[in-house]
Amino acid sequence: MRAVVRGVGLTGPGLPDWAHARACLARGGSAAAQATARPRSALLARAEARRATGLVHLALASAEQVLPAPADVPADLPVVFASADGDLDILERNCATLAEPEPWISPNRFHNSVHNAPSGYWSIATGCRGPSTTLCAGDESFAAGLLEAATEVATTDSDACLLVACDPASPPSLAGCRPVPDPFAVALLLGRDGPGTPLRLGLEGAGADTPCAGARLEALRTANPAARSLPLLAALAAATPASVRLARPGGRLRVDLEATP
Amino acid sequence: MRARYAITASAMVSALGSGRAATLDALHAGRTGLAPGAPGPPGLHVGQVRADALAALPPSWQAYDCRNHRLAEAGLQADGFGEHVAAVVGRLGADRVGTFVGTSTSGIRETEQAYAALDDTGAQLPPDFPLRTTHRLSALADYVHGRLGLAGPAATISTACSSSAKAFAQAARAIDAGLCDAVVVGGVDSLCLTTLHGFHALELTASGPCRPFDAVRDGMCVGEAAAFALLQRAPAGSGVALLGWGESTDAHHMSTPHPQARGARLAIRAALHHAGIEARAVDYVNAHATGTPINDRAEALAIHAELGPGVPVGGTKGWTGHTLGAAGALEALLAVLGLEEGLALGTLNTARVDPELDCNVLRSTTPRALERVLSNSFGFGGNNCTLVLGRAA
Repeated sequence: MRAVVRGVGLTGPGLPDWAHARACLARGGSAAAQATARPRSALLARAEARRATGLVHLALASAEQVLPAPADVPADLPVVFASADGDLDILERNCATLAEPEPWISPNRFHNSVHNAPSGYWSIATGCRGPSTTLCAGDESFAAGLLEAATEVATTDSDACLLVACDPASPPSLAGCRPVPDPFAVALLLGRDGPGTPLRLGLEGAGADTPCAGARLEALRTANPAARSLPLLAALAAATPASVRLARPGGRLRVDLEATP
Repeated sequence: MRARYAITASAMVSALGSGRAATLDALHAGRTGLAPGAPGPPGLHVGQVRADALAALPPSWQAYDCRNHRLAEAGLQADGFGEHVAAVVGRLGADRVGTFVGTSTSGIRETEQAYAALDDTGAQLPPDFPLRTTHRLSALADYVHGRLGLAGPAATISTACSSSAKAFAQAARAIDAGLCDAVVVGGVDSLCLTTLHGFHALELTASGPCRPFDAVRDGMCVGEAAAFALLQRAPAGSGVALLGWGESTDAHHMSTPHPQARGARLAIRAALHHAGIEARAVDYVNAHATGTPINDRAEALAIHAELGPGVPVGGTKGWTGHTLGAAGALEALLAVLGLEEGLALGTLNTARVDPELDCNVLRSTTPRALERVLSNSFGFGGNNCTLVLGRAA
């Protein structure tokens, strides 16, 4: 399967956006040891921005690096969101409330608890009415999302698809059973053809996946499921032909980057 | 000619019972699976699966043990589904068979109980709490994929109440892309406090058994189910198949449908276009029909606008309850039952159809030869999916 990468967005610890991350990754460097800033997406109108959660803002902050304004978003653009754990702050608060003698969870927190909440807010913010899916494949959610986004552009009438992968840091009550210190989000705008970095994707059986150069990036890659995208992002930043293997359910996804024309 | 995807095996477990025969029996008898007595807000009617219908997990899968996977296991055992998949895997190879399943809350009940067991606020769940194998949404795809010994692509789709309808679309795309030749699709959702209290907080729950499209409908009933199908590229004349699908987003509100049903209309229109059929070729619509005043009004508007006032419409949630992430798959399979048995399913519990809805809502189940049916699934986040099912011509 073939696709081109038309744009990249990224929000992670010490990596406030793709411009910073690309420079850092291209020189084989490591992210600075900083917490992820708590981004606020400018895409959301005031009322929605107030209702939205930190994970929604994080996801949209990476998406808006690729598509900065609603006018940039085709009305029928398909979107794929991928997240291993969704909004754990909401989960923690809902479960704590449900454990109380009067377990009345708020309507807003209930509708924010669905896995597709970032997708819903993105659609409201941009007016995009295209097909929108949200999936989970555990730590391999980014690879599963990339495969689905590439499948969209390869098999449907749409010649582009936005992929957003995001996972939050763990709230205190879940830090023991799901230790993730930093949030991370990445957005890729894929196209069928045209300008951008050409990719070829294929399925392979089980084996080792591509690590990151540098201990700090490798620690980030293995800690946050959305950061499993980093080896591919490093190859995109280097802009040279490369082959990256990402673990996926059932085996590995092989992604070959061809030379940018 | 569009590609068709044959449904070569299926299985369902809901409040109506386990498997095809029990389900058909309840449909013919007009026997609801809704009853009071669930956990959560007192007095709610729910579509609860009987305890003796849940299946124990094999010893090597104990890390996955939770109500959601006991329900999934029951589904895999119903009507010889697992055996049929094994035979297809034997012919195609495990790497050519994928898994795309939907759920909204997976095994969240385990996490709710773990929080309830914490002795003070601010305490941590223990490091060995099995979040990844019970509650994480991917646990469902991992369980189904692993139990059936599959090695093709896999993922859990979670777009609230459209999840497992979209699983059919994603599976068919994977076949189109050549990633696999067959896909186990389906959905599993089980009762939990989050959804029971959550829908109650939104004032969307019914005071008794839900009455979709009724003039005095007052809400939905939460249900639970497991539903699975095996999709394969269909040669002509191979029985009932997925003929097309349409997906859209409302871009309006997180939990309220667009008042003019713009997203639902787009999904229905895209599904007809994708299947290559005209509106008049639709013989029956399995409506999403939750029973809430606003949802049913918006859906009736969409059906009227895209398909006209005459097409027979039914909703099955008066039987099963709203099975949320499993609803898309369960109701697609109920539509398949209707196609195979020549039945247009009626709308149980509905006494007087709302005269303000300009739709041909069937109250009673009636014998009728069906060739092509639509199944609607609409969810929070304004997420819409319409499937077209019929005979592979």
